[in-house]
Amino acid sequence: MFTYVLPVAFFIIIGFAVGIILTAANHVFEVKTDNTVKKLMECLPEINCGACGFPGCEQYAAAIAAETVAPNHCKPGGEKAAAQISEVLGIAVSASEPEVAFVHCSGSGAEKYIYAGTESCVASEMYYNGKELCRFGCVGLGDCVKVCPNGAIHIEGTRAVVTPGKCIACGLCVKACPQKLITLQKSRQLTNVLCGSKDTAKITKSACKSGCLGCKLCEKKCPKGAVTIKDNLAVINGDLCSNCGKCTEVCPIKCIVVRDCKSATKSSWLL
Amino acid sequence: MEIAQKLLFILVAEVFIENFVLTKFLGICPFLGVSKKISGSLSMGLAVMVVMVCAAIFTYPVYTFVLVPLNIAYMNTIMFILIIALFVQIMEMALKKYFSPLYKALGVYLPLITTNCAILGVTLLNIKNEYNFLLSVFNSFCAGLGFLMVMLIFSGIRERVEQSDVPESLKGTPITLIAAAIMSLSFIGFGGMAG
Repeated sequence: MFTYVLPVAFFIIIGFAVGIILTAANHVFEVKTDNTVKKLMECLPEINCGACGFPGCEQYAAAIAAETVAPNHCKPGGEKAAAQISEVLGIAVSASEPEVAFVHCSGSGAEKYIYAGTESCVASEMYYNGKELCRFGCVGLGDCVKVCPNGAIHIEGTRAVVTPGKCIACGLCVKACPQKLITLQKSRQLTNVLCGSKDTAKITKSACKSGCLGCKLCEKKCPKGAVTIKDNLAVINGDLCSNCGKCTEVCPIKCIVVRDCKSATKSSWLL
Repeated sequence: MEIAQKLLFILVAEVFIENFVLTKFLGICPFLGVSKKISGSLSMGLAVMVVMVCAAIFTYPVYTFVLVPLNIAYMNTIMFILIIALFVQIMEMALKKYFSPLYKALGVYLPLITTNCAILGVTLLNIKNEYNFLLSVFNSFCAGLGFLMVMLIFSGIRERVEQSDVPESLKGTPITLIAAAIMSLSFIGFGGMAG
């Protein structure tokens, strides 16, 4: 009889003891977690995209709570998150202006050689500056597609295209692109240069039929002074651009485009 | 001299010949789960090593001075689970309070280890091999070292696999399991070395 009772009794006592020890330990080692951090976490989208400059939403929330950063760095959350954060903190917060990624390449350049290696732009770039004849052009192997958390980028022919309505402006593709062809710009800027070539007109033209030649016609024509030629490439200042479309009309190779905002029905904030 | 020989034998046996992951098939869950990045596998391996050594330190006296005298040594599995769970929990809380950076590096892995079979396995094998206290602790340390080494090697392999062009049907878990199997086979080559 004793052989059966002893282990049972022993484990009941041990079980209780362990329970008591754990409860005591929980009190002794209690760490007060900040409640505001928890509340701020609920405001953030928790997709850990890193657009705010922190590794994840939790670190950003902790930084907001510690008042070391401004609370409007969350781009995917946008106005909604900013409004909720301001409610939690009891201060006025304005959301940063919505942004959207854009790939500065038309992908109409010729190919130097047929690439059959790993499906990665970075890997392709290791072989003679990539398979594209233009050393600035989009490789089209989709490194940006792989990192996009929202599936906003797809490959069209030999170039990557961003769907503005899906883009959350996290900037991961900007970091992933080995060609530095993707930039984040204010989403009210609809006019874009579809080229990233900083080569001279002669080299650009030999590599691609729709590369920017740096002819300065757009710079002269722009009524707002928003277009400048820098390193043989037209660059549009989004703060000044009024989307009048004069630069697209004057561009001899049509490498400046105005995004059709009517087709982007999915997002209302695209003007 | 004899003790040094024995220690060396345990070291080689636990790390290479009878590796916990590759030969005994214990601790497969963290081996496959946390081996995606070298940094993560390093933290996990270190956490397992620490917990293994602590487990040996705590379970040995409980077994020799409580379970054996009470004649309930056959209950060692349940008892060891209780002890391991208890001290891992307390360790986690203590880390969280006093060593915040260390908690951030290792803390997330501690709950995973609580019920890991590799930890329980090492304590049970210590008893089965009739090691004394010192040998138990050393054996656990070596087992942890073996685990850490395998984790690091395997995460290195996985990082390379990630970069390469894997056939569509083998992507993800299948190629990982195949890589683990080949690695295990290569470690079985150590089999005849000692014994």
